[in-house]
Amino acid sequence: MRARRVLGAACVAAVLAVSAASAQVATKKYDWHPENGAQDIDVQTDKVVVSNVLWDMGGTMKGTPLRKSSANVRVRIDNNGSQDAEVGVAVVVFDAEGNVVAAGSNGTKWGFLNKGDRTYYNIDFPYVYRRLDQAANFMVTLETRVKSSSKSSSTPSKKWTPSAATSEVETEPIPTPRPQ
Amino acid sequence: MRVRSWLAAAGIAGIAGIAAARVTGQPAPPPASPFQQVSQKFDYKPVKQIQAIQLGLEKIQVRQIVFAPASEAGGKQRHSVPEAVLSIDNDGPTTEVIGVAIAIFDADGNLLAAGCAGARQGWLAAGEKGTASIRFPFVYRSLDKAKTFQLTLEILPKSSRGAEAEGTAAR
Repeated sequence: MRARRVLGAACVAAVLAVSAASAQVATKKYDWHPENGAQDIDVQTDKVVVSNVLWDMGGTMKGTPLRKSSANVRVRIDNNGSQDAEVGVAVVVFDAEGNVVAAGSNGTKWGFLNKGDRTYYNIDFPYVYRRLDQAANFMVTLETRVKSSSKSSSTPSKKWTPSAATSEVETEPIPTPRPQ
Repeated sequence: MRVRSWLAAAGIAGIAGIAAARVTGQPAPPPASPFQQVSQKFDYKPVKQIQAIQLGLEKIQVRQIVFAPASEAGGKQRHSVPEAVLSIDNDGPTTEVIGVAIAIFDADGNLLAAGCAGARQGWLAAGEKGTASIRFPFVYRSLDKAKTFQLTLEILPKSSRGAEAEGTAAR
């Protein structure tokens, strides 16, 4: 009985360790030089990549009591890995003096970004945006946590391929005709 | 006669303006935008999650920041999101539209969390105290390594409605 409890506790600890260790972070800073609002970047961890940002300087929404800005940046995320992942992206924009002129984050709201999938997140700058036109550089942080291995099956599912299918087909030897 | 002299004066003023522009090579500066912004970096050293700071623009003061961590709930329950709650005082005579942004860094300057928020209704009336909560729902897992944070305060008098002309296209 005691052995079973110890084993159970060890399993729980292992699962927690796996889930804690799977959170990865990468940060990079870039000069601000978008062309038509778009700029290619390369921030990656766990084979999840932020490869492009599209800046929209926005404008204020007139006629609303809350004058939020629609300024935002659209980030492209590709999960090139072999596991589903939770993804978060934070962006901070600085002016030439190093002052923060905009900041925000976005990411997976529920579930995971499936392996092989691509998505786009809009990071809004609704409240601090009025000096975004003086941006000089920006910093991007990508935070990922791959789906816990304990939840997925231990053996990866094999995809069907014609070669695999032919190799697994049981064949009988063709009977040789016998003269009667 | 009075009209003619006024026109002459206006003409002289116009010529003088053009000449001044040519001399400096710069067009006349646009009217000053009514918004103000200040940004400052602080060491991250909250005591029981609370840190007293001093960041102000005119009569708008940010005096305290509370870093509330995420509370992980077990099982399938959702965990609460870490957030930074700022206490803002408007000691001035006018209502101000208030925005705050924060970026939190580790010792190596890596960005750990970022976000922005406004006062509760987006603005703070004269003489009132308010809070702004900046949540970090997506990038927060390394916040325990925080060493510094940079805070930006942006204000605009609420009355200056037409003064904002920020319908700019993407560069």
